[in-house]
Amino acid sequence: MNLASEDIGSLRIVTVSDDRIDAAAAIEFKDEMRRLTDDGPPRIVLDLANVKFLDSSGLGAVVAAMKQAGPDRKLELAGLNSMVQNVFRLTRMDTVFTIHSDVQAVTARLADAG
Amino acid sequence: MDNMKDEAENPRRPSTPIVRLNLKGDNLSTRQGLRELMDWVEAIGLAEADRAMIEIVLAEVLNNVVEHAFPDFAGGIIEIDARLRGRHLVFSVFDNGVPMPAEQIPQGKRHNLAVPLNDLPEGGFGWGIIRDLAEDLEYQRADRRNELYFRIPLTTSPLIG
Repeated sequence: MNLASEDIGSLRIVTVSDDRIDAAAAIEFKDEMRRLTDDGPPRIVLDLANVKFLDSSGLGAVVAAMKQAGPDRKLELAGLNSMVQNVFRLTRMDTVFTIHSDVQAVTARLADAG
Repeated sequence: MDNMKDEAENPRRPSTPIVRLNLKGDNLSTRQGLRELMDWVEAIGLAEADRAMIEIVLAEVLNNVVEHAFPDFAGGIIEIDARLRGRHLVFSVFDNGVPMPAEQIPQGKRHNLAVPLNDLPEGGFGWGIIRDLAEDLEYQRADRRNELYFRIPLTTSPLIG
């Protein structure tokens, strides 16, 4: 499970390189996310633009990652394709997360705020 | 299209597209088996939206088998039979694992999500997704194996114009 991390001010962008977050990958994803959210900026955006497939195991792993980040940090999502969005919608977990169309939508706002 | 006339003119037209797969009951094997199934689904010409639905339903079905039918079981085998019939892809999934509780398909939980962060669910979504997307879901226990049947409605079908 390949996760890359980049900090922009009070924002940490975590990019998933793998194209699947499924049952086989869920535990490794959680472990990697714990490593990347143990400390650092209070706002984390998880970029899922490379992820073509996510099932309920993957969804559970993302929820676990949000819990791991703790009450002082916010985990948001970006770049969900229609398949991944559908899984969040069917489970109503799209009501629990802040979901951005893509990472650019987040960073552009930061630039505007100067 | 008049099917009988078509077959008379083209006696070598392929009959019902079918695939049968045998997988071991662990997450890496089911990931690989699902990939093979999706290769076949793409090869028979199903639309992308339909392919996405098929993949998520099968992933949830297989995850359930691995997690619940084979709790400590090294010899778990899963058989998948998929066939295209009209506007549906019809599935049979068999496994040699432990029976479903009360020999019934779980309903699927409707989670209360208006809870504190730490109480949010991390699982229990699978049957809800399956029930939302698949039709004619049936389960029976026969010959010491679990047999799950369901079908997935297709928005377009290569068998029908």
